Amino acid sequence: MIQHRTVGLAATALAFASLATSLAAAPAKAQDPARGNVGLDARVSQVCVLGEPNPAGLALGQISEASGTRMGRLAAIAAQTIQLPGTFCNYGGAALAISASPLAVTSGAAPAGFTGAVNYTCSISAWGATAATVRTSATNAAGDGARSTSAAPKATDLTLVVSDFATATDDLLQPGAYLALVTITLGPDAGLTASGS
Amino acid sequence: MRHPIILSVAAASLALACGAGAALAQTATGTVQVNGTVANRCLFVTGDVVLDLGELSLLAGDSAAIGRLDGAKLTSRTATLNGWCNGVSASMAVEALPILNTSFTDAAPAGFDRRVDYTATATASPAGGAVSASDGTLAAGGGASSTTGVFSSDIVVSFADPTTPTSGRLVAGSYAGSVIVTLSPTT
Repeated sequence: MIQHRTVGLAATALAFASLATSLAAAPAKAQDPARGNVGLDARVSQVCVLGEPNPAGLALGQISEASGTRMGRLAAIAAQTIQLPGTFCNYGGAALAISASPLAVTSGAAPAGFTGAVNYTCSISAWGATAATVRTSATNAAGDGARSTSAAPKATDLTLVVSDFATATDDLLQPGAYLALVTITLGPDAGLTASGS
Repeated sequence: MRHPIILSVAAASLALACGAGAALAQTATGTVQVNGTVANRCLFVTGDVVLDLGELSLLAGDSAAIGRLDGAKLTSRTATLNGWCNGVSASMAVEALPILNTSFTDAAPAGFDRRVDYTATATASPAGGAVSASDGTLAAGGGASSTTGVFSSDIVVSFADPTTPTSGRLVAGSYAGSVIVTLSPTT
């Protein structure tokens, strides 16, 4: 009886041994690679920068004829340009607008037969498909003109052209200092509230 | 007559004693062999982290720089994963994907970019010393793997060399990228 048991245990041990052999022959399968992920979220805000005007102003000097048949009336004034280098908007749909006031005498009311206002046209053509323009006049008190919108982000050097100086009635010019202000605005089409001018 | 009887009894006792001694000498030992295996494995304990880099472009300073990439927004940040591998031949690899504008998908106009490239480096800390693996986004595909061996540690992902394709200004919008860290149980 005892011997029989001993034989039985030996058989069991052999069975374990063969199991171990089979396990060794087929090692445990390695896992698939593990993946970790670092997500990167960021944003870029809408921004427009209008280049610093160069020159910062236009000094037209004497604008009335000093002699000849047109003496005292507006002299021919060549078109003037102001560069706005490095202008950009980093989003599409930004609008460029120009508002301008007439070149007007800074003091005193004009007597009969004289005028104290010179009108002109401002134009910037490089922004959108059509140029942004404005023509000053006594009836355009706000001085607003046609906007120009770029459908895509844009970076460019702008050139403001000031031209076609004329008085409304070609009257004699009132003496004195004359001043005009041109404001260029670049920003969201609705409102033009952002960015420089 | 009396003596033989005594001898006879003694002989019988001896025989009994001999019989009992033979049974004790037959102890036998059985052996149970227990085997098992542990597969090569790698797992992430923390395997998904999102970094919000915020505004990627410069909004102040020199007007020539405004709107261009603010590289510090990326290089100043790290992301910390955590994981382990239990095999001596385990390895780690990194694949970095560029940060792209997800809201403006057209080609960037002249002077602008809508892509940020960078190099990501993942560093694990096995007992034998830090092990790093890197990948840059300028070339497609993942970087070379590095053998980590057995480890269980944080895996710190850091960033370097931020650039844009033309050094232009970044198109406005939302941007997204990712870094995939792969732990392979066997090489």
